[in-house]
Amino acid sequence: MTSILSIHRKLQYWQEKRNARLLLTAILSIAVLALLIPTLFSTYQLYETREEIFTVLIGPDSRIAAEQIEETGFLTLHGKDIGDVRLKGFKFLDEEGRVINPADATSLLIRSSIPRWIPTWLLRDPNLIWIGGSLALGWCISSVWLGLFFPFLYSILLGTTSWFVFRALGLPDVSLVIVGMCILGYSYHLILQIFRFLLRSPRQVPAIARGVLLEATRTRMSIAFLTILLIALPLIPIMLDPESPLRHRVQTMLSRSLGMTFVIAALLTVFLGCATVAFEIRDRQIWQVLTKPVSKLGYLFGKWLGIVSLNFAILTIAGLSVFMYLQYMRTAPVAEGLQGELDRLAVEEEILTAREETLPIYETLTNEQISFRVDELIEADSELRDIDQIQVQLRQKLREEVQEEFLDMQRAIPANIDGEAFSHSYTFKGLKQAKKLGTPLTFKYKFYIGAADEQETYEAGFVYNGDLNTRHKVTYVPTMTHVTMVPAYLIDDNGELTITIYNLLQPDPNYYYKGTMRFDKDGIQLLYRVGNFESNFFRALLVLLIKLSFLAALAIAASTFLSFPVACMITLTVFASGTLSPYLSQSLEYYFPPSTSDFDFSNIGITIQWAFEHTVHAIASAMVFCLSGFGSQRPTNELVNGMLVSWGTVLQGFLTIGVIWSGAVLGAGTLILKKRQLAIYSGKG
Amino acid sequence: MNASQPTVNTIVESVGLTKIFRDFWMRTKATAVDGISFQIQKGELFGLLGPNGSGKSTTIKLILGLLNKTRGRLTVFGREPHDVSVKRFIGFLPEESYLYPYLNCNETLDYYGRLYGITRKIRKRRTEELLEMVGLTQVAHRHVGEFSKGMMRRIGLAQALINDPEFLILDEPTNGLDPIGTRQVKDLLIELKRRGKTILLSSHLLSDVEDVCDRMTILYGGKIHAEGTADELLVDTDRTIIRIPRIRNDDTISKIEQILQQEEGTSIESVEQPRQNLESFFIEIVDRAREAKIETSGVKGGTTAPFLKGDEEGDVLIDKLIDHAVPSEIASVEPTNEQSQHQDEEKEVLKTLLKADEVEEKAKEASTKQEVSERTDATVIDSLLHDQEDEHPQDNK
Repeated sequence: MTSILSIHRKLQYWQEKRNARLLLTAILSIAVLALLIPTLFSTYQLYETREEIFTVLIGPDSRIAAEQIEETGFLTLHGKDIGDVRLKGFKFLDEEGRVINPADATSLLIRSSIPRWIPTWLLRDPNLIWIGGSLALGWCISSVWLGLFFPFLYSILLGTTSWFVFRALGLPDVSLVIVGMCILGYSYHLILQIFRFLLRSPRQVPAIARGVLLEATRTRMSIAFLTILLIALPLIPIMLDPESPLRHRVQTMLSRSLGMTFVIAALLTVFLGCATVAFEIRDRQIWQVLTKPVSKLGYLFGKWLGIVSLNFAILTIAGLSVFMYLQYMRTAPVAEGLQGELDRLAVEEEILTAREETLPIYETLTNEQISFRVDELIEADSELRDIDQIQVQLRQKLREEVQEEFLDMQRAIPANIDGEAFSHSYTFKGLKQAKKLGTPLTFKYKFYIGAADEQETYEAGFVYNGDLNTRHKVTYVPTMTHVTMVPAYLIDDNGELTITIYNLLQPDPNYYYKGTMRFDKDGIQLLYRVGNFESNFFRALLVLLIKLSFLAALAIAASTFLSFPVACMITLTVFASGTLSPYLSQSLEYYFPPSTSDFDFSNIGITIQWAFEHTVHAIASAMVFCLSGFGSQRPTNELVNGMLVSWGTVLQGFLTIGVIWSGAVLGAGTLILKKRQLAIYSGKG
Repeated sequence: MNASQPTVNTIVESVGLTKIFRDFWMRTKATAVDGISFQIQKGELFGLLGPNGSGKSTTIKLILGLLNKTRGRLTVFGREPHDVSVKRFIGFLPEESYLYPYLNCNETLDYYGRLYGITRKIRKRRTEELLEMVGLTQVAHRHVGEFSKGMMRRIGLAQALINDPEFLILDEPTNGLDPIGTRQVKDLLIELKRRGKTILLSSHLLSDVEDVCDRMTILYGGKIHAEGTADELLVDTDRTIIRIPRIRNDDTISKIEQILQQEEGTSIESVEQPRQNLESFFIEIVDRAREAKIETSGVKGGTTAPFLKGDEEGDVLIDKLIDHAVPSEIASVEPTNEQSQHQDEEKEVLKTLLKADEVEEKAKEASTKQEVSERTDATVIDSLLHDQEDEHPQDNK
């Protein structure tokens, strides 16, 4: 053992030398390029083939090509057959002889030509290989020049050995987990070293931030959280149900991995943020620091910067591992036959994408119309009619009810009467970009009908832009969300699309319910792709980082005047309230404490209940008011549903949560620390 | 005040300084400092004496801005104690060393050096020299949390000196140190004083203060009860001591007494042989053991760090004057007679330049209670440095 350590020390000493580092850099560069160049070559070839197929499918010979695919499952290109026999019989042409979805058809055709180890997303942009290769090269070179070559080598050796050993034992999942842990653990260590290098400036703020990073890697509390994350994250994939559809596995993987990462990072932020200041005040290390030329703001900002750097490292590691695993899942086996291919397609088009949603434009009543209806209501009500002057608040409430009722009417489609189906048309605007991109839109709908029995199915019909040739019947289950694809060419030149929904229910006249089909305000939506998953994922991570940064500021500020446990409790309460604020807001809509005017205060018990309920309502309302901005930013949710996390969202989060909230909280902490006398009376001198 | 050395002559000025600790209801809990007024001049070694609970540490914390004064006026380098800019020139050793347990010695000094904005090269050099000085080189990579009390004090002292401070505040610096360590600290204080540094030394160990301080103040119950130099406070003007070699003949003593009775009308009160103090004797024993190279596992402190003697910039200059070979190459080459002679000559040149002997001699003289020479002759290096400073402000100030 001693000789092994001795050899290790000699190797460590050797790698500190400049010549050794240059040699290792050269070797690793050659190794990375040896892998990169053939990959790049293969990918560019496939990319060109894909472009050629797409050109054929949208060109003048598209119909002939589509017919060939329908008959044989293959397309002949430059004398070579491309496709799969399973595509035979699959419908590629619509009634007018146009290819329904050229992009998807291309993906289906080229699927069989792609080696399993090349992710499909690379075919959209092979230049990403350059980025990936550069990252890999940067990773290797950083390891060498930060003096971590041998830990890097040991991680590779351990991972490789585990891979072969566990595979030989028939435990491929375990081998993947071990390899994942090795890579994650080493990468985390590397990133922290990079940060320590970046924070090497002899200035107060970087010095304190650097100190926090050291504290995070050497104190038990921090190490515990990090260990849990680095072990638990690679375990998630083996907990996925292999029998479930691929799209569900991908969504579960995304949801659990990012969710768990965020929660662990948040807990670490709270505990480390509170500990790093509260313990220094308690143990008086802050005396040694603040008697140096360090301002109070600089001290707190340095602490904050250190924790944000740590969170950046954690999100980078977790994000990269989740991202890489998702790329692996993209090539995972699916069910046999067409169903499997559609499953894989759904993953690409509905989950690993970035979509925007648009709601229909509903008609609204003009002020005059509303006033007229309110007057009618008052006239129809014998009690209200007799009041000389109706209160302003009552009139306003009636106006809101009238408007709401009008909107509800537009979201209700009566059932068939005497064979005539009722319908309503809904116009979606702002779809020019979707038309330009040409990819199909997803029409998402959730209807309620009758008793909303989930065991029953009902029928509805859709017609687009009033063209009966586009009619199309669907079967739906009440209260459940359904989707149907809408071709992009149906959008008109103004970027508008009108969907007419028919209620095809023919109710039994003996039943008491009338079979009206209804839906909520967001019950029907059009979703269309506006970006790719990779940049969406990156933006989602940025939003998570911004939220964690606020949490760090809050924890640090709280611990300037509270003890460690109390500071943790306050910070966790704010965090939980902020995260749950959307649900809290919804709950408040149904929570009605009794009003003062209706109350009998002579009963003490009821009075206490009244006071309690009003206090709860006031606190909950205040929390929702203050923290709704925090809770409304839910990037994991958006990613799981394939929705866009826009740069606007990121910027809004950055300015609101990252700058204003965090700045205000840190500023308050600075003021408190300035006022606070850090050296308590000890009675010793 | 700009970022270079401060120009004020009064480092600390306090007028009617009062600190009252109150409880949550604003009732007075304790009056730790009660209307004290004092000044600490530049280049002075000022002692703050008093029993436990007299207000020494509170006064220091007020000076450092760790507490807010209740009444009175207090300035440090002519500014409020909370002013961050003055902290650049202050080094502080608290009564207990409150360091980060998860950092090792190198990292601890590196961290505090960064807080002072000291560049990497200088930080590295000073860290090595300070660890050598406090005798912690062998444990440089051990975490501070594993240290004994004495080792904690040593590393605490090192961090207080990392910025070569103009004003050094030491609260019970010898607490937990053995007599050798105590002696080293005193020698260091004298060395720093020689360089014109200002030192505030708080202690309830009277011998520590008496040996080294120029002026001292004695606190009790938060008030000053005495203030002045050691001579002003301690000299008994009613007595005279005459030191002579040993008298072997009792008659001589009688004759002396007769003269005294004739001339002064007084008599001899006692005749005795002087006693060496225990500290000096202890140090002599240890020095002898070291010369005999007897093994010990204890801390072996070194001499004062060169940068604290003002030799840091001298090293840079000497590097320019003399070609500096790689140490391993030097070790691997046995010098020829000619080279040895050349090296000896170089050493002589160095000695002359640095006047190291003079410095060591002064330290020895101070330890035998002789007055420190007030020679202010600048060394060659010092004079060169003054010229350099005028042209190029140092980057660590």
